[in-house]
Amino acid sequence: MHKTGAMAETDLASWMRTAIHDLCQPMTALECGLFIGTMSPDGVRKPTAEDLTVTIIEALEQCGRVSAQLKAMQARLQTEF
Amino acid sequence: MRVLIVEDDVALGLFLAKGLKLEGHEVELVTDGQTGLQKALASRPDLMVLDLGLPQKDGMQVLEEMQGHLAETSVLVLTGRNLVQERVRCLNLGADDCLLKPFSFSELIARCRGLLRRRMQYADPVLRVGGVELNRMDRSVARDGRAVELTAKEFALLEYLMQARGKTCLRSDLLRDVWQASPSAGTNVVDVYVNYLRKKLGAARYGASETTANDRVIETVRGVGYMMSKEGMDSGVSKLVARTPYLDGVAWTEGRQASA
Repeated sequence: MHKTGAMAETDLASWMRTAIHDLCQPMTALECGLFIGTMSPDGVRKPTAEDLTVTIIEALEQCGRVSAQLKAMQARLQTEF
Repeated sequence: MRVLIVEDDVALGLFLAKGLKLEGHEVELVTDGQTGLQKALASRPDLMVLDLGLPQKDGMQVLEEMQGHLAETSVLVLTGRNLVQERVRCLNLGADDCLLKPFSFSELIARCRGLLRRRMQYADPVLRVGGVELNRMDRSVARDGRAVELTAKEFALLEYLMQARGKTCLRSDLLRDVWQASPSAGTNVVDVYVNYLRKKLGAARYGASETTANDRVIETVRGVGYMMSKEGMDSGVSKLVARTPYLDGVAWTEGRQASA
């Protein structure tokens, strides 16, 4: 059922605020994880191919969370409008 | 520095803990507000990185209950809600800074450094043992007034040993707290790095070509670990020049390998 007027906007705005907050969590984890993945694991040597593979796998997990949240936002918008 | 992270998003918390450990900090991670408050009051960390949306007790409640009890702890609040009133309330409740998610790790680190720098303006940031001076604020080291250049890991090891001066540091504790490695890991990395430190500190005192066999600033406690002696503690002011860089994204040192 489609809502109309100010009430629907308030509901949607409130939902969007929460959704954006939930999107920020994996986005931050993704950005920080990738940056940390470029750092030396022990202060001396460069990250190895294995280290970088772990970083990529962890980043993909966070991408999955980002995608899931975006899909939820798309679905809500389609329902509303 | 001792850092307590209170973050309920496990993935993000683990990333932050890993990055701050790589920066040379001693890090503890908890995932709810109640435990975070208890840990903060018990261990009095130098810095608390506090998320606002937490189970059991939210970040705002934690700040309220910390008021007046943890003057020595700097608090950096992380929030995913872009509300000015919320950030103002956090600052009024005693937070030192707020960071809006999503943020980059480099910004988090820069803000942590800023908070720790300001905090250390009120305390003596220089550790002194046996002619060795380590300045935790500008991350410089000198021996008898001569600058000593250290890698970030060497700096963290020396800082740990100097903080525990007069006490034996077990190899297993050094592995756990400086390298974040399992104490049972079969590695001689501690011995290798102590050797690096002895050579560099010895070279500053005796010159690179001289033997450092008689330089006992870091003593071996046979079969147990290492200790920096209380003997020779001094408070002289030295000229500090060399600075140890933080481990920024690509700031690794070329051409050095620790045998593991």
